[in-house]
Amino acid sequence: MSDLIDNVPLTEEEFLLNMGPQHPSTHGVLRLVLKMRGEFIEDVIPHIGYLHRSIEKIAENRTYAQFMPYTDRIDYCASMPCNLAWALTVEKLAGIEAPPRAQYLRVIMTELNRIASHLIYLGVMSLDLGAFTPFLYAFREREMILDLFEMTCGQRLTYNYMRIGGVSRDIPPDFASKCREFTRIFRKRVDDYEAILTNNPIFLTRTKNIGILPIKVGLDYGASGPTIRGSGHNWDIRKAEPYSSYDKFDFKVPLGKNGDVWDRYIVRVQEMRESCNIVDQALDGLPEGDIKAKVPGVFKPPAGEVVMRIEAPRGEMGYYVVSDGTTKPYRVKIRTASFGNLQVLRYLSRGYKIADLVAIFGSLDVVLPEVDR
Amino acid sequence: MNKDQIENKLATRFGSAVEILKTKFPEPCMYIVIDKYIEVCKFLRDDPELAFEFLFSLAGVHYPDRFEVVIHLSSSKHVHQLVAKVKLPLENPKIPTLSGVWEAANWYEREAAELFGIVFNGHPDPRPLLLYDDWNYGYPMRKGWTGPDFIPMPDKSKGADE
Repeated sequence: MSDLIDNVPLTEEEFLLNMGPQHPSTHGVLRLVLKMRGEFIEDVIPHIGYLHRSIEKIAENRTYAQFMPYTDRIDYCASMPCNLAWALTVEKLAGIEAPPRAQYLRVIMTELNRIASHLIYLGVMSLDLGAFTPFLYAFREREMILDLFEMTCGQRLTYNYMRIGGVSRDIPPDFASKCREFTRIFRKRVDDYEAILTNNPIFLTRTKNIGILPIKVGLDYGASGPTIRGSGHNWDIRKAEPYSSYDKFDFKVPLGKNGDVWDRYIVRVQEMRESCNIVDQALDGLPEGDIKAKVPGVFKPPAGEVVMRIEAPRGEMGYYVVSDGTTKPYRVKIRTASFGNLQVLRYLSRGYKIADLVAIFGSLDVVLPEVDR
Repeated sequence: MNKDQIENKLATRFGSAVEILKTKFPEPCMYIVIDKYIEVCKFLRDDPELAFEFLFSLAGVHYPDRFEVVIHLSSSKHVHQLVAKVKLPLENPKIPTLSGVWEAANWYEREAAELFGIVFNGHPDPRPLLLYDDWNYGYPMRKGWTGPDFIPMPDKSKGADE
């Protein structure tokens, strides 16, 4: 810390301000050192690593199946996509294909988790901007999704639901009706959120034309997901490189126009609606059959290396796995969306005030355990 | 462009500086000679037919006889991906920084430098990234790393796992 303060050259009018690691708006433990000139931010130096658990090293000491629960802990707001990415990576390496029913179940769970994750974004972001009601609303609806997950796999946060070659268990008999009830109710609830926020003058003042991200800059910094789609970049892995039968569903990719905080908000709200549509379609077309492909008990994928990516709620997430043909991976690199998205913060917040920094940071929807791994 | 077209294009443009690897996956995979690393990467980014504008990830790997820096690129314009690797010696692994080509490489390289001890020459901000400030126990992602209070996993490879 001391070397940092010493190494930042300051003029007489500038000063350093420490924000975090326990600041409520940093959504976890992130420390930002702000170089200020009066009220305005000249530079932001993020300090990450407070939640570093070296999951990549742990992976080298676990078998492929044993690593699945650890993937839950990469992003605890969206565990299902982390599970799914790991399962798909290992399946790609070993040439396994999950049965159709398992693929549909994966889509249902992943999309429900996308809604749950965006609800956290919506609630926390509006809370940061001083609107308390959406926070309570969002967590009320998230509770319904967590109940659905609890019915299916017994867990509410770290699901450990996917398996290499399929999923761990089938949905219970009354899942489909409860899930349809949720999507029916939820569509109206999204209207409620929009009524509170979308055209609210206070919200508009705080978010319109704040933190504008040009597409070229965003790609250069490695931003992905709703962060880059808010700028109008039409790129979604579910459409571009469909995995897990996403090509069988009809859904739109919402895009923003200006790339400001409000655009990133509206993209996520529309994504929640699209996810509802996907869940409904998947329930309608849910095939009968096995939920897990036959995978040997002692699982040894062939030696080689593989990279696989999916569209997680926050953007592109994926694994790079080097296998040496034994039961354990030789090297696992985890690429998470927040890692790229957080890098853009420095670019986005220059010239704004601290209150705007809170809005910009909220709009990136960064989850810190995903950054630190 | 499909896999063969990308491979042919790079092989004709750079000759022996790229060594194409045969894989069963749709992404082309290749080794780049370290001297041409930045030149090839700039070409991958700027060539209109390739247009790899997105650095998906950059990873260090520690093999028994070498280090490798592996980069994964993707292009949203042409919907294709590419895996490029550079071999580095075990002693004094040094490589030029990519952060001038893709800004995203900045943090990935800081991470690899800190966890593997790979030196990225010319990096604009070579501070440690993830480990705590007083970390003084070497490079934890290297194979065979041990530190204080380190308890190795019991070797079950001849027991229950097999």
